[in-house]
Amino acid sequence: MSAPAGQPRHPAAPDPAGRAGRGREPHALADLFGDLLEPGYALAAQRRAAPGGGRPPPRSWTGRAGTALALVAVGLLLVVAYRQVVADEPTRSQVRSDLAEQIHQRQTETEALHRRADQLRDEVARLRDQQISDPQLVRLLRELEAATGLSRVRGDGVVVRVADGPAQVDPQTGAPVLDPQARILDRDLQELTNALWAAGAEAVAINDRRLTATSTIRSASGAILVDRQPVASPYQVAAIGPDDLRDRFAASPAAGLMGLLVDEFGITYQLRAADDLTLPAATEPQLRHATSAGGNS
Amino acid sequence: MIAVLALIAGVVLGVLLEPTPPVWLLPYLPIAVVAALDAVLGGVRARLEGSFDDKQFVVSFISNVLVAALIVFLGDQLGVGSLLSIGVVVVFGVRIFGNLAAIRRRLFRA
Repeated sequence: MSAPAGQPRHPAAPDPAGRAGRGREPHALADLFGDLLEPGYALAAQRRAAPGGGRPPPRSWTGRAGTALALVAVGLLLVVAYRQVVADEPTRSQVRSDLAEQIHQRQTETEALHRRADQLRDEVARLRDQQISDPQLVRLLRELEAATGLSRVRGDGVVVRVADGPAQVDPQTGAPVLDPQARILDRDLQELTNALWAAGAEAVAINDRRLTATSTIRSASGAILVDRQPVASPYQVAAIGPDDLRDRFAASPAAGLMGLLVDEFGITYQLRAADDLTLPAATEPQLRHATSAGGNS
Repeated sequence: MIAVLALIAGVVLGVLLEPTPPVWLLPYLPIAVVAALDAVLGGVRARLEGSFDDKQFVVSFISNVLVAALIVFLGDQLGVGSLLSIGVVVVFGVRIFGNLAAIRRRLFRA
């Protein structure tokens, strides 16, 4: 059967065996690479058909065995590849959980060291107070420590609670996926704390991490670090300040921004006045290069 | 018939023996699978068109797998990583689709 007259054969599909393009509609992918059947098959068929022109000779047993062997190999290959893909998954999660375990271990160590540092700091303060005879001086020192964040402080204030928006379930993997826009950013926490300071807060802590003059709030690949320690959602920003701290903060642009984020992305935002808050001491900043320039004030 | 039985036998062998390929072979596995699929689909198409040939099938299977592995190896040595593998996958992918289209035309006349 040949192509009807007036309908030219597709130039990109040469036909080595003289087979006609029966019902050949233009197929974008197939046309890209021409005729995809190995020409060898057609040549072999031609060779077989050439002598006699009758029935092709029966297939040889070695040929059949070769085909069967090749197909056994294909089946084997499929199974091995499948098993490999399946076997890779536990290794990956194993490595992941190992890493997570190490991180948790180091975090516990860090916390233990922090507690030890706090104890020693208390001891140092006690011994120093014993040495300083002037009670006036001791009080001044205490106040300075409280202001710089080096000692625990108590007082009334506000607690701002913010948390990431709800996670969506990924339709393919079924794992919960957080919309990056519904995530609380380091910038949001910065705005919050700046607004709190501006509203008159005298001591601020994020998730029980006291902020000082040298504190940093920044992000490192998705995690928020406060003073180089990771904090996780939900974030509790506690601040001690004047009685009207809550109202002044609520009127700030940062509170407006939070309201916007609640409406747009469904983050959690709560602001409440809290009595008798206790904020922990910050870790002591180690001044390596800056020294006191004198002055007793 | 024998071909289908041989394929099933291979799968059963793989499940029963649970062979673990050596680590250096792992990067070649996915490419080898794609190359083998191309050879098998080519064989099926030839069978449907009545021009199947044992020798042609075996040779195309072995050469497909070998050439694909060689290209992956070359990509590794040249330091282009998996870029050459992508080329292999694209070419074999196009061929697989083309052969599938031909088989479909044969079977359903559509």
